Amino acid sequence: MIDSLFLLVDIGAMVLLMHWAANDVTEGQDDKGDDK
Amino acid sequence: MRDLLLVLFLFVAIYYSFKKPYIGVAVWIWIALMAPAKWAFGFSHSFRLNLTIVVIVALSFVFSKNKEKMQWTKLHFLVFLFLFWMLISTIFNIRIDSDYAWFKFTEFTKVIALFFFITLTVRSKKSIDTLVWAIVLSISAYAAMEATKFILSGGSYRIVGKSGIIADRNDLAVAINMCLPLIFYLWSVTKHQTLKLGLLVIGGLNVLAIIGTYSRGGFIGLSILAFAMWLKSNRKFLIFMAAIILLPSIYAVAPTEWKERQATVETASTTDGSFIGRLWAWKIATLIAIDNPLTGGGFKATADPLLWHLYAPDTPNFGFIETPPIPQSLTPKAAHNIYFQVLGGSGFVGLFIFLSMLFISYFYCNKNIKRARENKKKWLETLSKSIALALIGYGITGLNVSLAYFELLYALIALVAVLSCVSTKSSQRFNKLER
Repeated sequence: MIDSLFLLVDIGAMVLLMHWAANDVTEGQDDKGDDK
Repeated sequence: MRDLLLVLFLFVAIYYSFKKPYIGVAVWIWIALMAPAKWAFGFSHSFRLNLTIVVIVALSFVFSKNKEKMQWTKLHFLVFLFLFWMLISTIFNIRIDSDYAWFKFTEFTKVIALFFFITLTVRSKKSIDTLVWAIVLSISAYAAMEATKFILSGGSYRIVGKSGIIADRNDLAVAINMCLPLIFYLWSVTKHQTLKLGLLVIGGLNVLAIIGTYSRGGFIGLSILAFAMWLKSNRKFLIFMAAIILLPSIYAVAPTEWKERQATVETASTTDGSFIGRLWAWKIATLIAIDNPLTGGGFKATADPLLWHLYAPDTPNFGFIETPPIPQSLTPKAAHNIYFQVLGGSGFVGLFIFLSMLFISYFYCNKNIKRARENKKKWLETLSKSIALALIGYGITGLNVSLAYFELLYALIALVAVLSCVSTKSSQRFNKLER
């Protein structure tokens, strides 16, 4: 049960990461490079 | 259900990998460290997920419009030299089953391919962060889940790795130790408060996961890593006070079995069967290297039955520590030490290249820290510090495991190489990195 839930959440997080990485939006990025 | 989830994920990953090759590289490392196909029970269990994503990354790079020029560093030279030397040692391997050495060499080639593609595609802060997140979402997220089970069981659950890359609990402890500084880096560059809190929880659970593996080497590594982090920190007094208050309380609630296990560290060399087994493996690795100083015995030389039994009679009085004779019935053991693993596998030459690779990586990290500080790039300074700490964690906890050809190490070395290419005094190059 915990394993299945973890896999679901982790894969979901990876998809979100890929979506964020694919976007070229750089507005608001300051000099420190804190863009998340 | 898990099978469907994985297939769906693969399609999404292919889509995004074609958009940006570095996304494919991030998925590659996530798959390599998580081995998600092993989590499935049905048709996707035999999926070649890794191979699929490698092909996708290569195609995506070939068809990408904005190809950056490859920038070569000394680290590239050393990594490829090490691969070349492993090829030579595999050609001249003295294992009874030569095919196994070739199988391991093929595996290692894939690891170096990952190194190559990271240095080829990762060029911006965003791509670096994506890669670090993918690493944390593989090992650290898994460790956090295992730590949750450890808490729910009241400390009786023993944390182990998942079949795939990091199945062994000692290996898992090393990987978690290496990822802890990366969690800290992400925490320091993330502005989103919920994400920050999530990273803090994952970090805490990862510390607990190392304890939950019952790995003595992992715990020693964690202690040294904590000390190194404290040395590099700007809030030494605050952390010192927190440690004085928290550590005795944590120790008081730790499971009795865990305390007993850690207490055996002092007597391990004389009474612990598992440690004596390691001493035997280290002696055999050294004896193989003395007889074959240039090329060693080939991959996993100590675990080869022929070599193990050939050198076993010479072990009791060899070296600084006397050991009991190796029982005839004992199954050959892996080196359980990255340095002896490379020594037995590829001789003194291989060990020299391997050590040079580690030292130069650490040296480059320090150089990157200095230059980032000069250019007032806080995130780059923190990242370089984190990688340096991860390398320290690897170098120390590696004394206990056979992880010389571990993907995570070569991914971190690749990141060091990428950072060193831009980490010059030219602020223009830094700004380009942050695009």
